[in-house]
Amino acid sequence: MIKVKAKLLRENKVTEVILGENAKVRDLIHKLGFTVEDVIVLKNEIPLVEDEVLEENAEYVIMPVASGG
Amino acid sequence: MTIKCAMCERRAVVKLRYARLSLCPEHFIEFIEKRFKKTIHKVKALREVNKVVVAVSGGKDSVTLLHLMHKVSKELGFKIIGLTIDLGIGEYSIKSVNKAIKNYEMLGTSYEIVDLKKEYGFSIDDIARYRKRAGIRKPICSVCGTIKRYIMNKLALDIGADAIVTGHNLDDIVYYIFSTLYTGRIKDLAKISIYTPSKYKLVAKVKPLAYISEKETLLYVLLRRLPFNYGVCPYAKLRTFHEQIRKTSNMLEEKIPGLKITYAKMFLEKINPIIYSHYVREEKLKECKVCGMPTTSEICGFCKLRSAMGKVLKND
Repeated sequence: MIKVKAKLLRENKVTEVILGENAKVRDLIHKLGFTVEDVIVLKNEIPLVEDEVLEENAEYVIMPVASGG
Repeated sequence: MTIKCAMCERRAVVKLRYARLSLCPEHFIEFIEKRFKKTIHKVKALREVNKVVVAVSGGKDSVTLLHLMHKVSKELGFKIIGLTIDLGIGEYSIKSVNKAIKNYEMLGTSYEIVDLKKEYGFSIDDIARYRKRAGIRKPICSVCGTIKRYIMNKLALDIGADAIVTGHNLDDIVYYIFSTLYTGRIKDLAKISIYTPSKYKLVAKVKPLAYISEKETLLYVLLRRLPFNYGVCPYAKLRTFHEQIRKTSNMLEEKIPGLKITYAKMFLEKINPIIYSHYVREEKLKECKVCGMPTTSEICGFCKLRSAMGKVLKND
């Protein structure tokens, strides 16, 4: 199991998420209740492809796409 | 393990599953610009325009639209004028207008800011507060749409523009398709199009982002580091049906990549041109007795709204 931090940008909240070994960005998105179309995931301000493998203890920023404007 | 760009060896930042492509920032920006140009070229009328109004709220879609239109206008040789409406939605509007101005200044584009409260005496916040007392039955987002369409058309007419371009994206188009199908509004479904030709005093409208999703516009502004308002309109939370459709279409898109763009292309290019003449009866337009703008009744929807709000605010 690995542990990562997810910063939910709209809520301005950081949450810890536990996922299986070799979990990918897609797994994190699903675990948080989103689809890959709903959000952009960034690490160090760089957007990540959903197939990338997550790094233990890293912080990922979750940026919802919908603006409703 | 990082994922490599399909066009070069650099790190990919986006996976376009419908196109089976992972792309780096540079190639993603190029991809979006090509797709935009392809849509623009589909609208033959844009080859003959001199002046185009670009509606810019300051959000990700309209900022993307402005930058892409700026580029295309140089290539096709027409002038663009940005239009931003200060709707008077508290902090949200202040931030939006500021971001729009930053982008205009970056590009050196001419622009107009129309302040709804200063120009017409009421704001969207006023409507939210006094809507019921003013006898306005329409939901606030629908009223806001009427106001924006009126102001866009008025400015375009006043400055002699040939077309208005708006930032409606692929997700907006898919929402219109799903919602009109669900509610059985076939006339409204038939009317969904990338290009609406001019008619009487209604200036032509174009939606060049129709095949670009909102995830792609967000990536575009992030990767190009463009200023934009990431905030959400406080009234958007009232649109629960819209939110349900958006979630459902995204869920389907994840299971069936390309579904959104296929649906949009099917309706916009194949189905709607056939069903339009069958279901849509052209309504005769005349001048509004108050403002002279086009309407199907004696007084246009905007003037009715303005009059109702004027009475309520005067008595408050």
